[in-house]
Amino acid sequence: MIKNGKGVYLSILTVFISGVLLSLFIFAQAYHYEFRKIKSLFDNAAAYRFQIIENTIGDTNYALESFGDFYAASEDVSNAEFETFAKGLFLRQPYIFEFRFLKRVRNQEREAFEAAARKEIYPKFHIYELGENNQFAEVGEKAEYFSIIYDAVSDSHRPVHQFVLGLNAASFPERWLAMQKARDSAAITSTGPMIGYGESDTDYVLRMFLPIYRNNSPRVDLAQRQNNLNGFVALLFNLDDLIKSCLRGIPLEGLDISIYYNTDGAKKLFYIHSSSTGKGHIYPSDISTPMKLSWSKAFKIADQDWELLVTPSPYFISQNRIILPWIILFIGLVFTLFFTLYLRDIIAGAKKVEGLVNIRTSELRKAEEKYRVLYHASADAIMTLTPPDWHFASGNPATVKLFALKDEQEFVHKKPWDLSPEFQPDGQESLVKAKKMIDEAIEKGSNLFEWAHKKATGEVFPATVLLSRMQSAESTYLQATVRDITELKKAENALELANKEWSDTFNAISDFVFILDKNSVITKVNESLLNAMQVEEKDVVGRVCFEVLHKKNSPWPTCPHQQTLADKNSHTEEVIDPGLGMPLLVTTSPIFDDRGEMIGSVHIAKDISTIKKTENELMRAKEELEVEAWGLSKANNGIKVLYRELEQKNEELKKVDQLKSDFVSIVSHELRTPLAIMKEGVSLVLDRVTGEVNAKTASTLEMVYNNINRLAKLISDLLDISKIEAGRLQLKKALTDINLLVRDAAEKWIPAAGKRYQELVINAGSERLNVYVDPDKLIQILNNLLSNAIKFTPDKGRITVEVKGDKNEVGVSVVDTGTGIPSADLPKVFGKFQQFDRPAGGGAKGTGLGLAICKELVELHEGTIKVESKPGAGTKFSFTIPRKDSETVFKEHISEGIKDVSERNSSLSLISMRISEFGRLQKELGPDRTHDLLKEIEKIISESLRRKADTVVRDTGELMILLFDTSKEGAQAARGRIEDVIRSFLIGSRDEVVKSTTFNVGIACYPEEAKDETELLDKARGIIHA
Amino acid sequence: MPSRVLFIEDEDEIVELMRMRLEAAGFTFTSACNGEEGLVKAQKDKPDIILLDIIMPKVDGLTVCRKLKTDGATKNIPVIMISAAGSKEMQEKCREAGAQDFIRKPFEASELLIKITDYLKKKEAQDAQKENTHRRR
Repeated sequence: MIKNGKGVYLSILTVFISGVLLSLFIFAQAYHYEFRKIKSLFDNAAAYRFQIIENTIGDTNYALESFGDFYAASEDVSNAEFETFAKGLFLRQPYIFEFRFLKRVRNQEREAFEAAARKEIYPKFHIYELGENNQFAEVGEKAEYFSIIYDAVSDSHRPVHQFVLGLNAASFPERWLAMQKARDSAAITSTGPMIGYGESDTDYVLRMFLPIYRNNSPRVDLAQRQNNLNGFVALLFNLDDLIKSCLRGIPLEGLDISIYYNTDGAKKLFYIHSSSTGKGHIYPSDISTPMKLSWSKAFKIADQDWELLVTPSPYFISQNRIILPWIILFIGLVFTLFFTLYLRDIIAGAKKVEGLVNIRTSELRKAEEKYRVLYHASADAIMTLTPPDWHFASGNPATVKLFALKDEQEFVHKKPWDLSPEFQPDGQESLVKAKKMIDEAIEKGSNLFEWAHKKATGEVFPATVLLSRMQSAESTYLQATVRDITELKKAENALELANKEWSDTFNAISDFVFILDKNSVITKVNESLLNAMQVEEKDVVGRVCFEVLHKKNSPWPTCPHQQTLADKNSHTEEVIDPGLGMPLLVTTSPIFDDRGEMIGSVHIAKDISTIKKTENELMRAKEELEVEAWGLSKANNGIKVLYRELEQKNEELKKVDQLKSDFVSIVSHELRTPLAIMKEGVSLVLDRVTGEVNAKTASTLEMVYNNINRLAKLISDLLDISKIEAGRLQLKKALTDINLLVRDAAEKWIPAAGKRYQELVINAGSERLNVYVDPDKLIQILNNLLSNAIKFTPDKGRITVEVKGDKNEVGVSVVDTGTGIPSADLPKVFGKFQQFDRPAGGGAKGTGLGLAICKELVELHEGTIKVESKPGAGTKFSFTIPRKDSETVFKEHISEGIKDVSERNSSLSLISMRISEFGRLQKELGPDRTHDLLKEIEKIISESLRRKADTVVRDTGELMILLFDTSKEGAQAARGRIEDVIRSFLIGSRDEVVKSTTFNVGIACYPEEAKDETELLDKARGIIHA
Repeated sequence: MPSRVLFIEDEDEIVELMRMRLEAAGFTFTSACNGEEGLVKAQKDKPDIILLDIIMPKVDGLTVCRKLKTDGATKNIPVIMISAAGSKEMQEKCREAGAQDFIRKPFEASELLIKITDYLKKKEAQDAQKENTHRRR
């Protein structure tokens, strides 16, 4: 039915053209119908109007005739009667402007008439004519005159009225012509259109005349008519007003009325009443274009030929037009168009449908074919199950093969559980579970599940079963696809195993490992990390790495993963995030997929805290080395000064030589050398080194040996005493713990006491009891007292050593249970060479100088020594040493130094080193450690100086160094060295408190900068070395 | 092998006595009568221990000690100074010069011997340690 392309278009075109033509035809018909309708309407309207106009014209005739009758009825008519009559007529015909009666007055009758008129009408009555400018003009001699004797004007202009009376109407040529014609024809005549009666030049009027003959006179022929004429009745009307009056009350309706005046055989357009303005125009200038429609009719006004033409204005036409034709045309065309398009669509649609049907059909055929091939050739077993018992209805070749059946026949009618073991791996009965699976498939449309099947051979194998609900025309059935997944299962197991292996390995790694994707989201994390962070896997996987690990919204600044993302290379960075709790060495390596696209990275973090620690230690060691190197370089700078100092040292050494010539040295050497020889000689013999000696020789030599010793002691004591007395013994005072000192010194005598079965009791406190003393000298005193005590106490006696101390002094006492000293001898105890009775027991005799030396030594310390004794009970030796405040001691020390150098005309430099915030340091370290620290500092300073210097340490953390024979220059160099040495010592300490200790060093020089010890000390302390 | 002692001392009587004492104790005894000779002998013979007198003509014992302690060949040999003066200052000076110990005359022979054997033992231990370190390398 559907033609090919061209045919289709042709038919569409035909339809289109037909539609158009039909529309046009209908339009034409409608138009024509409309036209006729309009025309009839128009004709009716025009005719109607004409009728009215004709009637109205007729009314004028009637008006004139009724006037004639009026005159016929009575010969004499008075003015008043005339006016009344005229008024009535005016009321009836409002377009009439004047009624007049024109009396025929023969010449010979003129005078009499005028006289009568003057009497009857008005006093100034006069027959006249109008001259130029409508002025009163005398009338000449004429055969006859037609004077106005009655006049009525529609709007009664009295003065005009009076003006007009007497006017000879025949003086107007046009009027006279019409009057003559009326007389001669005994009928109403009319003038043609004339300019208005004086009021307005634009008013065109018509005058009509009715001849009035003498009453009862013949008027048949012309002569009679001329003879018997009495006068005329004349009226004047405005044609415009007439038309308007006619049309009053009639709707304009869009009809133009044109009036033509026929004169001299020519038709002249005299008047148009335009419907658009509602006004009339006399002698209109423009003539409307002739219209298709028109209606005309000729008519007479009296004896004049007129023609009326009615034309419809466009308004009339449009008013009366029914838009029907155009609408019909429009509708028709539109309809045609839509219909055409619709038709085209239908055709196109139909074509498409046909095409689709063809395609579908061919597709279906192909699908059918494919399915057939698939079904038969498929390696998967495809079978159908039919309700209600769900037995197998069909099975493809693969099914037969899968279940190791003979053929399809064997297969059909079996049920799924027939080809399955009794129980499924999950323990459910196959029959029950199968029914469940089937129900699910029916409900959901399909069901995919694993199933254990059994071949005909009895072999059980795992399979996947896909049940699909199928709808046929008759019923719902199931299609099943079964696939043997033995191999798959094996692969699954192998994969699981491999996964476990990989997982175990992954988790076994002690480093923290996780895998990130391109968006820095953690996809896998190992156990080490989970354990370290104390989180679950679910808390971490799927989250952005820096949120979870660094707990920030943006990546770590040096994050290697970000770098790897950028350049697809491995990166290693140290990441030290305090929030992580340990420094880490992080390596990230990119992971690529098969196409070489980077899908993420492996992130391995290693705890490097031990490495870091080692690093730090190395750094510190390096720093120490640097400091040392710096120290060394500093040392280099001072080498010049050192050389100078070495020179000075040489001088000192030379002085050592000089000691040789010193008396004490001489004595020491010269006395002791022979003594030593004697002693050793005798000793050799006594030791049988030289050979055998007999007992007597031996005992004799023993006596010699003992006395040599005694002599040696005597020499020492003498030397001591002489030194003390010469004032040359210089105490080397130091801050000493007297408790410790006494304890140490006393303990050494325990063996000696023990030999004599003597008890040695030491009562010295364990706390520090500091006092400025020369420790060696103190030991000497103690040794002396103790050796005496042991000597003068019998066996099994007791010796008690006690230390006591208070703010002001320290006291030591040695109490024995010896024989005692008689009170008479007590004052002499401390004298020289005072020896008392030999004690019980042996032992060498004393020199007699020991106690004297003790006294001297104690007194050198500004202390006092005393003895108390009770013969037979025991003796008590005690001494006290005042505790001077360290400042005084300091100053003493300095003044001694000053004395020393001033003897030699040399200079002395004082270096004062003070530890800042010493109180805090003492509190933090404790008094013992502080003391040790100060001692340590003192020691290293001494070692660094290598020159004659005294150092004194105060318990206020101040260290004073007296540099002998050192000028300011040397002192400054020394100070520099001291500072370096102290600084490195402090920095090198392990203790943080010590490390952070700061100190000030100041110097002052005598005699250059100060005169005495106070000034020197102040100056040294005042100069703060920044 | 017996230990060798070098005694640097100018008074030959004392030297003689010392010889007797030390040889009786089983030491091998050499002596030098002044500092210079002492230094040479020390460098040449490399004794196990040196006894050094302080008061000597020309070069005093302290200088000799210093020299011994700075010379690479001799610096590890223990030195015991012998002096008539026993003051603390002297002891300090000896220590400063680098001496290991100090004994005052007149002295107890036993004391000296004890000191000598002590230092020899120490030195032996040190040498053994050094050798071990060497070997390990």
